[in-house]
Amino acid sequence: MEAWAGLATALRRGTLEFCVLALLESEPRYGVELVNQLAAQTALTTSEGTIYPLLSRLRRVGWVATTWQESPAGPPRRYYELTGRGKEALAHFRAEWVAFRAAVDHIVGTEHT
Amino acid sequence: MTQSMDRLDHIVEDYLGAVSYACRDLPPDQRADLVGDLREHIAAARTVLYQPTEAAIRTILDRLGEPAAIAAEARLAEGLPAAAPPQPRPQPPAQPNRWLSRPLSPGAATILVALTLIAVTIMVIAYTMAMRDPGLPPRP
Repeated sequence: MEAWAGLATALRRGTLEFCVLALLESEPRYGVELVNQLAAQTALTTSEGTIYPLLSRLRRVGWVATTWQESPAGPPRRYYELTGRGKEALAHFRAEWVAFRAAVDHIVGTEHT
Repeated sequence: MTQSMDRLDHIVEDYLGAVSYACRDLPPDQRADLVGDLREHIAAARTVLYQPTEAAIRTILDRLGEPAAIAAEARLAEGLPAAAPPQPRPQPPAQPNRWLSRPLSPGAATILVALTLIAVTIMVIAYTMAMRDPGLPPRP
């Protein structure tokens, strides 16, 4: 196996949860909806099921809260919404990310790609 | 072709069982949480199926991914090592060699020494008698 095989996973590790927070910024969403939106960005997910451990962790650290709501068709759905602490975490990530991205682009020469 | 609901439910339960097993080292509440989330995902995805066929159910499960991959992600989210712990093998406990590993009780030691002495005595007597025995007459 090539040494860079784990690269995408490693890059995803620190960023995917903030992408989830950003998706919840405008409105609460339920699991399948979040998964579908992330799955549309193939660079971000490996398989749909791997999002759920992440959502579970975000719940436990208090960055998202969940409520059950009846669904027009089928069983009730668990909706995820951003908490105040989740908003703070997202704002912090945005600042860090801009600085991080700029530093990496500068050093590896990807500023204009 | 449309399969009976029982059979489709069975496929789903098998999958969830495999996820649960792959996560057996996670705290029970987190494991239950994850399986519950996946169950809900599958139920929601099933409601929008045009026809609940086995192929459609298997597609939903394929998109969720390999139980081992989900378990690895769950472990990382918990700060556990990504690999599952080695499967505990139901091995019978190794039988210790009773004669070597257990110190003999004083009574057993006495009996053992006595038996050895008796055996040696019998051998000495047998040897002595054999020496005294004139044996077969010399062949012509």
